[in-house]
Amino acid sequence: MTEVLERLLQKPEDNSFSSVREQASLLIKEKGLPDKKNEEYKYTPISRILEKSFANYTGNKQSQLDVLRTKIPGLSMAQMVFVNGQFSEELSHCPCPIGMEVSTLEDKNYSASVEANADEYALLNASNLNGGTIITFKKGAVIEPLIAIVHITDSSKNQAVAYPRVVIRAEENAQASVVELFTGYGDAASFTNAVTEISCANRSMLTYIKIGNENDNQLHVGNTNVDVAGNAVFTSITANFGGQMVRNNLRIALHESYSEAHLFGLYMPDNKEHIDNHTVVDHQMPNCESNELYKGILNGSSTGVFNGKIFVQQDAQKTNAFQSNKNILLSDNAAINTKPQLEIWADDVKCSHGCTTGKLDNEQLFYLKSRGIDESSAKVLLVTAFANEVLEQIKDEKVRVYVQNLLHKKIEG
Amino acid sequence: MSKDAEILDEFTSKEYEHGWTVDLEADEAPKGLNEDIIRFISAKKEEPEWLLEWRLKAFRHWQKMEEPSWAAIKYPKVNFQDIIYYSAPKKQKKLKSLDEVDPELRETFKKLGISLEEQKRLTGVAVDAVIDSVSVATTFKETLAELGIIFCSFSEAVQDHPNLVKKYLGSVVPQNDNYYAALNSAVFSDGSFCYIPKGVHCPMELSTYFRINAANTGQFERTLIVAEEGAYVSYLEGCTAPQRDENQLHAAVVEIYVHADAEVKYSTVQNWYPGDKNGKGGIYNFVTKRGICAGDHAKLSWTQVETGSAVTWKYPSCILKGDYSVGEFYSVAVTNNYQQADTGTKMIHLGKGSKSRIVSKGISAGFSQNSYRGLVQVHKRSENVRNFSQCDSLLLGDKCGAHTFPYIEVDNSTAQVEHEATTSKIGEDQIFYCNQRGIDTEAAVALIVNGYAKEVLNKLPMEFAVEAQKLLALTLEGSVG
Repeated sequence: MTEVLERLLQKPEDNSFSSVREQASLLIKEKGLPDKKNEEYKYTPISRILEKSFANYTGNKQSQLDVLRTKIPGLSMAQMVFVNGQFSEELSHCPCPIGMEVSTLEDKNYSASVEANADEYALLNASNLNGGTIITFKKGAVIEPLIAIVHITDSSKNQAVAYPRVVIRAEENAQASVVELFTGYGDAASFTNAVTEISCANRSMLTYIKIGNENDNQLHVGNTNVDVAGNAVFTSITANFGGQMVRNNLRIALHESYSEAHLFGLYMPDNKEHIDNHTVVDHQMPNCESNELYKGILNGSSTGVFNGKIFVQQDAQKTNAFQSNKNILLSDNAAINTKPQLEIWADDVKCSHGCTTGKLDNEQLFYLKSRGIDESSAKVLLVTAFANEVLEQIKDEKVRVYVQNLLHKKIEG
Repeated sequence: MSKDAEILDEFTSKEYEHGWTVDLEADEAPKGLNEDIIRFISAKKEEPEWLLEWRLKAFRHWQKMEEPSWAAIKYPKVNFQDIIYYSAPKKQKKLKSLDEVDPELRETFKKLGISLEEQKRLTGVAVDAVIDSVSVATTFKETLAELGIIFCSFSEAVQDHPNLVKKYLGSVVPQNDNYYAALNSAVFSDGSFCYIPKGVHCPMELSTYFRINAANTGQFERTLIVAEEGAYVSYLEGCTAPQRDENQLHAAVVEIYVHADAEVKYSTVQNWYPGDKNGKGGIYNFVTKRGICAGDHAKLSWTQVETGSAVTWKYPSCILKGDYSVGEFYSVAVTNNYQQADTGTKMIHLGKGSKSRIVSKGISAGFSQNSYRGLVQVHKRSENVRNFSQCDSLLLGDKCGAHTFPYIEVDNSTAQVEHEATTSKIGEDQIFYCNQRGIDTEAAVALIVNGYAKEVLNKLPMEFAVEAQKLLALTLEGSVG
């Protein structure tokens, strides 16, 4: 395991993040990449697969941007494009709406927080920190258009590793929506290790959509950390349609009163794919609310993992926290491991979680068939309906249609 | 030379090497744990050689294992070398009348509604001849023997039914299963053995209560229950009366083997000393309980009411191997003051069409922490499995915690698995409603808690359920206000 870690830790060059990189790489070397014995990574042996796929990794090759431009669908709607973790000016076109500011991490004197108890892969990202983007939604700004960011991991010439880092800040009373799309190009193995930091100031409203549409040679670990201040509303929609192994860590801290978090998720692995969603909602102050709905549709011999933690700290009285995880297994070889977890230290709370796993309802199928709809269309209809509960949360029509197309391709393929 | 003597001989010569002597006549082994102590225990109990070997194998596994630390409980580390692993059952001091019994204890008995005669038995007061519990027990034993049911202490079973013990011991909980099970396998003192022959429906609730000599089974208890094809038994362990014990660590193992079409119902009421109001003292209860539904249509049902112990670590589990077998788990766990409970179940679905149901009700008060930790696992080849889990938590007071850690692993698409959990406190409107009708707050809480736990209490045998209800109220006494 240490060998692959050495390969994944790029040689530190002198840049303004040297001290953070050094600090983080010391920590990750000490902790090592998480193995099967690590409770958090019990069902997701991503370190082992990294070890296998990246034993000979020597660094990324330069990408041909012209090729990417034609090969990656949906690129035209993106304001910002990252190739192998680096911001690509050529592919991006950011006419910034008024009230929004895009700058580099260096410009803002950004310093990544490096904590010993952070996720190992977040530390790995920090050890390789080499630029990134900060998007700021100014005080009181209401940004109508959805801001789209596309991350491409290009492994067409060689194995590729990307460490993108995006920081999103919504200032007081700001309202905005951001979508991050992760995709890949090329046949060699690739590994995307992304970190997204989000903060929502008082009374802001932010919607964050993460779409994963990766190839079956792509590994992905994403860490999204969200801080939500008083009276702010944060909505997260995570939709994953593939990747050899995908792990999403979403951590939301409601650290002031009257804040809200809404989390929606859809995961649709097929063949031998593996998608793992770990979410944490940390209620630290009274009168906050969280809602969580994650749905999985599993086909082929794929595996899905869901782990939803809700913490209600002692001060967080009058908390409402709800969580639900529903799964459909479409094939006999698909498997799901789910662990909805509540840890509550306050008494005046209303918390619940539920989780179900099953196959498509035979009676519903029969109902449709008896009305002349053939079995495969009936299945598509039922699965679409199941998924739509999550997808209709995406208010932007272009993105919703894009995601629904991914869904249809996945069901029919 | 007989085998036993051989063992003794080997043992005595060996100990000399280490310059360490044990008086075989002694009632107590010296403190500490090593192979010699295990040989000593085994020799004392005149066990056959295979059992000694079995214990030693467990001990060797145990030495390689690490104390588990994953549970949501905190306690000072147990020094396993500071424990006496064998002491002969002590004769209880006979008291002349109930007046000599600790008044506090009598007050508790009164609240629980335990009959005078039973109080005497529990406190060790000499019981008059007419209703001597021993004679009651003897009558029961005769009835059972007529049906071919074996119900005796573990040591007796080792002597009288060695083949049965050999066949089933460790068949459900192997020696190296976990840290505490390995420890128990190495040093278990005594326990119960129960065997129900084919097709026999046991006519009464079997309870450790009726088994003489069961009073002092020690801290490493071992229970083995075997139900042959088509048999039925309802087994009761523990009692509602508070139990004090000078041993702080309890690591028991319960194994249940259920053959085809048989049904075993296992109910526990645990009320060990939970420590004082400041969390000092109290018993650590680290128990491994597991049953296997080996044959088709077998059924195993666990019901537990956990109110005692400073630390509880207990996961009664069902391995549903037979097709169409059924596993059930009903639990009420109450924690108050500084008690900690990490309890739940495992339902391992291997058989086709197997079903399981989990109902867990946690109640936390004071500064206590109460966790549900469960696993529902559906294997690839087990089709049409059905599981329903419900684990609710009730919080009384803002210093306590309630946690839920359900693991659900489904490898078959035909399975239908559902889990739901809620956490809340008692509604102020509910309390107000009771107050308004002249029920004071404490009684109201007891009433509401009992209603909340009713689904589980209903599964207990009747007379037990009544006592358990009172016990719940008693445990929560002083937690309101």
